[in-house]
Amino acid sequence: MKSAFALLALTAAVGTSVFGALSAAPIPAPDVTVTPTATLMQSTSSTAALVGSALVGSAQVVTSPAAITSAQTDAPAAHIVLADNDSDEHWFKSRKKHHDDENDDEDDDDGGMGSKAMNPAPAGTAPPPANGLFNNATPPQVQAN
Amino acid sequence: MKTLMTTLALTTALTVPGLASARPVTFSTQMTNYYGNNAYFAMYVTNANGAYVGSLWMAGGNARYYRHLSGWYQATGGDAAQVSGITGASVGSGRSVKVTLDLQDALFDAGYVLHVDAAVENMPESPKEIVVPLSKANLGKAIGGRRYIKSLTITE
Repeated sequence: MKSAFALLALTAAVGTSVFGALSAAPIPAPDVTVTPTATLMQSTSSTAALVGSALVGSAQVVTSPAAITSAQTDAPAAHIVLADNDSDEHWFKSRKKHHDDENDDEDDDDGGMGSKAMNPAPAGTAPPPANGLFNNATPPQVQAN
Repeated sequence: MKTLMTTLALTTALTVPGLASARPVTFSTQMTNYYGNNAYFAMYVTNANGAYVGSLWMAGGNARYYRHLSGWYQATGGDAAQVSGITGASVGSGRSVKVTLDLQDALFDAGYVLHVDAAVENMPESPKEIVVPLSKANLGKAIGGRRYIKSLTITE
């Protein structure tokens, strides 16, 4: 009895999703780009409580022939172009952000109190480090061309 | 009087070897025409075991860029004190710089190795631009770099 009730609930959920998706299919071309989202949201709202996201995915697969048919006849490239633009934009932004972060890191190190890296003393203004390599009596001499 | 003479002799004996063990060594660096911003480069020494001993010269005074000299940075942790008093300006494409340092004589033919790391903004980093043993046999020879340094010549 319990399993029969579960089966009934499942059937009702799938039926609702299919009905919702089918009713959304014949929307005109400009709205085709929105259709999958609307279908998905409708499916989600009606079935999430009972069957979860896996069933939503399968419900969308069930409705997809109608959606695809609509997309192919009205605006076949709309989905693909939108998806690609979106992807490129995110990639570009993330790359730019990385670049900005890098500059920010370098700016943080740019001297000042509490900075991570203080600039070294230029040659001639301080003795060479006592690393055993130098005879510290003579400062370095530099000639640039 | 006897004490004074003894002190004088002792002082001389201690001082003269010290002077004799140091010598001015010139590092002449000729950059390639890499058509980019001024290059940073670090010259440093490792011992026969590859352990960092110390730095000889840093071309480029802004410490925030030192992490791009990856070999030197890894060896020193980016410690700017390692190049305090031995830092000069970065060097432009096609330019040259001659640095004369008063170095300990014992550095030569003792297994020490000279490393040069180089980096240019917006261009590939070049760790191990030059790696050459500090030996008297290499004095006067033009040593070629990998990317940014056309030649490095060490002379006395």
